[in-house]
Amino acid sequence: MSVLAAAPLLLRRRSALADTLPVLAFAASTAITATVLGGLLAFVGRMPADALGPSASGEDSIMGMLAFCALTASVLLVPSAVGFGGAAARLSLARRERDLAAMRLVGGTSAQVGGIALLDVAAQALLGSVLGVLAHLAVTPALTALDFGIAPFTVGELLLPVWAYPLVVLGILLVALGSAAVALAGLVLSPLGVARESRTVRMSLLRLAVWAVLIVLLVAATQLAQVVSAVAGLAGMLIIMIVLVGGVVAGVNVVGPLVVWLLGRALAATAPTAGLLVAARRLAADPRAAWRTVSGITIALVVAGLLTVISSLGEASTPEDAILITAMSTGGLLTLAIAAVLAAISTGITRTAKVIDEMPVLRAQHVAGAQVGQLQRARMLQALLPVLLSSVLAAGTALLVVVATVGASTPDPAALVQYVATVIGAYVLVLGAVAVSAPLVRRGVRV
Amino acid sequence: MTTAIPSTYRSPSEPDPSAGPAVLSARSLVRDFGDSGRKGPTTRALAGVDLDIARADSLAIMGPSGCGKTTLLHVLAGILRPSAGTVHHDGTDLSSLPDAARTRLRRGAFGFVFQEGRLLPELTALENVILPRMLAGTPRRTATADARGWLDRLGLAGMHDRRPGQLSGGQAQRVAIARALAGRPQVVFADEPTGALDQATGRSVLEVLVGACRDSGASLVMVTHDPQVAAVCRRTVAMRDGAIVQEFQRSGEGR
Repeated sequence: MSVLAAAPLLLRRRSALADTLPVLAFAASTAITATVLGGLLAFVGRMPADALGPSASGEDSIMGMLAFCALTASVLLVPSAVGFGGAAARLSLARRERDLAAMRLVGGTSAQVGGIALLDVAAQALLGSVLGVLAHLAVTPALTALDFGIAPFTVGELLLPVWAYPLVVLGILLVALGSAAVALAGLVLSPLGVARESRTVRMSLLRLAVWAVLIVLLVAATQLAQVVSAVAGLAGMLIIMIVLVGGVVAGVNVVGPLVVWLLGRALAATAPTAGLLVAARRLAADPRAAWRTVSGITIALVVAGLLTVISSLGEASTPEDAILITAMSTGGLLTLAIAAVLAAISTGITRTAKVIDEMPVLRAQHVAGAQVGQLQRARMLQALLPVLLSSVLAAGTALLVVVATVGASTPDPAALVQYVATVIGAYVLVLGAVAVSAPLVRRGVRV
Repeated sequence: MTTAIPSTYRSPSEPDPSAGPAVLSARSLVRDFGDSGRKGPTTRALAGVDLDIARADSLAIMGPSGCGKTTLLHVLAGILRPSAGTVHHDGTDLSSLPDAARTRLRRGAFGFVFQEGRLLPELTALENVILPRMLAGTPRRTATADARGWLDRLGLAGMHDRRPGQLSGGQAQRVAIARALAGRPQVVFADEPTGALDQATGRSVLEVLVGACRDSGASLVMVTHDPQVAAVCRRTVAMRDGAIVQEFQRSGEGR
């Protein structure tokens, strides 16, 4: 029997929960990607041919602006959703490590075993993304009820063209395979076990520099808007602005791991309690993974921050203004809701996966005298520290983008309350995700 | 029956256990696993075990796989409650204590060495050693000073800031021993402590473990399937089908 023929036998043995988590993650990633892209195409589809021209009037005159807003929301959400697909691939691979070692033991070469691992990830990504498309189809009719101040969208408008669905599934599949291949490159697959290349984690300050450059470019582009517009045209300037805003927001996820790493090291050196020591060391040991757990929340918080911009638009003086304000309010809240759903799913899944991964060590700590409550508190701290950083960074980024694009203005107090509520929601979300996996810890530490 | 088993390793001089009081005393221990509450099939892992462990003594529990030796260690350490019978530590029946109290007891009075160390991979060697003491409320500064002494004593000077992945198997197991002993426990429980090591490294780790327990006055209870490993202990009990079937004393004095 060849290794390939034996693989299904070896890959079959896993717990239902461990099997389900990556599929759920792929499904969420696909559903959100398809829904966001569907919404974007719906706005673009309503644009008249001369949307940016001077002859447009009424609803037509602002469709270009609305499409621009939809594109901005897509730029914020889609990379995060697709990135979650990549995280799902790494999650799937981590679940398989023992099986991969078993395959090496029965005679598989590293290349064969790596190939099987990729096939496995591909199968889960395919299943998950098909489920995700079905979820998107199921949710879309409910979205027609949203009031954007314009004629309601039909289901047909909010769905992607039929030919686009295989492309979305293929895209998620390729991202999953790419992420799994990168993760596999960092593993040593031996017959006696799978070892990660023991590298001391070092984070480069280059991350900070890249983000700073993007911020400077955004500020420069907004200050020189007229010059940029003259050179690149109005459409060109809008595209440049979208790319730069997207870059600065995405840059939070580049700087985040560096900040987690620095904070983790500083806290570990001085932590007065065992829980904080363990939490800080775990953050410093794998800052990227720690940040991944809050990257969805970060995007949600940035979006919430950007929503405060709407409050600075003031009262509508024309029917077009009224449509614009309604559309931006609904769109902003929709973006926030989607980002929150993404954050909730990614936080829940990554936290549950972490419990499964850490179970042998948690059990050993309990046997050696650590109370279950102490273990839970350490997990809670480990989860809360990144979200604390995330909320600070996200608020700073949102403020920066708002000031750069709209200018300093006094936001509506109601908007500030909404923002604070979102931040509190983020904390509740993370604590909830940790609490959901708490029974797993209680059951798991029993000998 | 009394039999002296050959000693492979140089043995430390140890006090006569019969002269001191028992730090742990087990009587008529029974432990069943399975669906007993629903009249389903059960497996009897311990079938009436009596055992005393004297202060500063060393005891090896031997036997084939599935004979109940690890279950016995878990019951003696208060990790598992017995289905019947008692385990007394300093006059207290462990099975009468709630889980939180047993956990505190394990943290304060007992130390543990597992087969694969079970060190936290993200923590340095030093931090792994201070962790249980910080959990028990010892200030970090105090715990750190003590831990440095233990690591140096066990041959790990200069390796305090290495993480487990940067240590050899033997060095990692020494860190686990330092972690077990840093809290000055009365009893150290070791479950196949050399099972994952090669013979030479295993021998060295055993010498460190037995010597450190002897020097600190801790009793050692070690589960092993290897007679050569068991030979470093003063006493050995052999188990089969959940019961102690033989006992050996290295000095040749049987009970």
